[in-house]
Amino acid sequence: MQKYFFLFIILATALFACKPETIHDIGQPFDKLKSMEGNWQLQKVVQADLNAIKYGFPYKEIDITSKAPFTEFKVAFTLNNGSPAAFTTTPGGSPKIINLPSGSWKVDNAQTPKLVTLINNLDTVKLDLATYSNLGNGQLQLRVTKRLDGKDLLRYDYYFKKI
Amino acid sequence: MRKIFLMAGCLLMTALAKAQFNTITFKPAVFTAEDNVTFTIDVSGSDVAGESELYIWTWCNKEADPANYPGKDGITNTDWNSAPAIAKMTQKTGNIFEFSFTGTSMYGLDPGKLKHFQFLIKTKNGSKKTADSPKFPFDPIVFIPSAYRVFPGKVGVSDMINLYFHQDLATNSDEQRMTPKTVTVTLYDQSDAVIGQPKTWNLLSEGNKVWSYSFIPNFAWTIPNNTTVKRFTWHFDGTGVDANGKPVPVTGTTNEKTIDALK
Repeated sequence: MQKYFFLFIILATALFACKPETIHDIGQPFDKLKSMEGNWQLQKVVQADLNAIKYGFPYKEIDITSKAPFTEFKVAFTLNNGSPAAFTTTPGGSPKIINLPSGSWKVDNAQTPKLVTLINNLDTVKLDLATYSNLGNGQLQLRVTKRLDGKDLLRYDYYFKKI
Repeated sequence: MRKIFLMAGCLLMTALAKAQFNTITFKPAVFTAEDNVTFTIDVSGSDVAGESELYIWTWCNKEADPANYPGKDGITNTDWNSAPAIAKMTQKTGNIFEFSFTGTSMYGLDPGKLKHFQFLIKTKNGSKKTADSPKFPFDPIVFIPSAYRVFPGKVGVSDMINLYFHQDLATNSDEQRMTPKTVTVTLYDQSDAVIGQPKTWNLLSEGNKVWSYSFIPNFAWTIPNNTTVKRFTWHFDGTGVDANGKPVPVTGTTNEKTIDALK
């Protein structure tokens, strides 16, 4: 009898513990392009030696922000109906990390952009969108990889802040 | 007068003998001792020009520190008078030949033990041959501490080049004792002509007897149109004291680095 009583208690607890859950709408996907729209100012530059990383050398990367007036560099991206439209760079006294003054831009995938291509007539500059984290918080990390004969040798990470 | 003619003749012959090595191209352009590399060379003008069958004779680490980089012949060097099949180059067209190899397999050494290699091109029986090639470096696969460090290892004309002077690693007694002050950098173009004026900058102390300076070639210099920056040299200078305790300037060792066409 006692056994049935305990079974009844357990079943009753389990049944009363259940209640309908409200599954909230996950909402619209995070619009990366919308977050990229606007004016950005360079905050930090990190240079990495990919060979040194690959082979575990002691000196792999350095923060070169203070080595030149990089923080004067600005870039602006505009959208047209949610699609990439125009870009403008304003180097100020900074080295021209993007050697195009203006033009159009495009991405490889509007929902999950990875490759950003800046176009000025026949000249293009390709940058990687290094991460989406903090993009919505006004931080943009663009990455340039430099190659020689198809071999990746150098990487620059450019950290921008929305202004 | 005859001596001058003889000397000029020798120099001319040496220049001609080495000329064919200006035509060499490597694929990939940068390679470690673990990478398979293919080089193409035009032997026109050399003693082996016009031959349809050519063979390679190669060796590594000549004049390098033997403790770290032992000198060794390639596995192709079995018999000068009868080159083996593995040494045979592929004739592409006329005087243009190609050869592929991997450093570790060719020389039977670990990748960290290979610094550079050389070769000559010969006929099968060795009756004709080219001069020795210059030393072609393997991209390092192990870190070698040096008093004159450059970061990153490969640089282009628009890259930040960071020069470091690790005084504790200096082997020159003047450099060991001096108080480092400046670095002087000179850029050279494709014709080996100096671009603009050499620039001298004050060094930054990184602590622990390390000094540095960083620059971007095409930011620090105005590079004329149609000019390719091929290399730069630099030396760290400072002050020391003579036997009487009087300050004297010290000029450090001049070093050189290639500027690659990174894209």
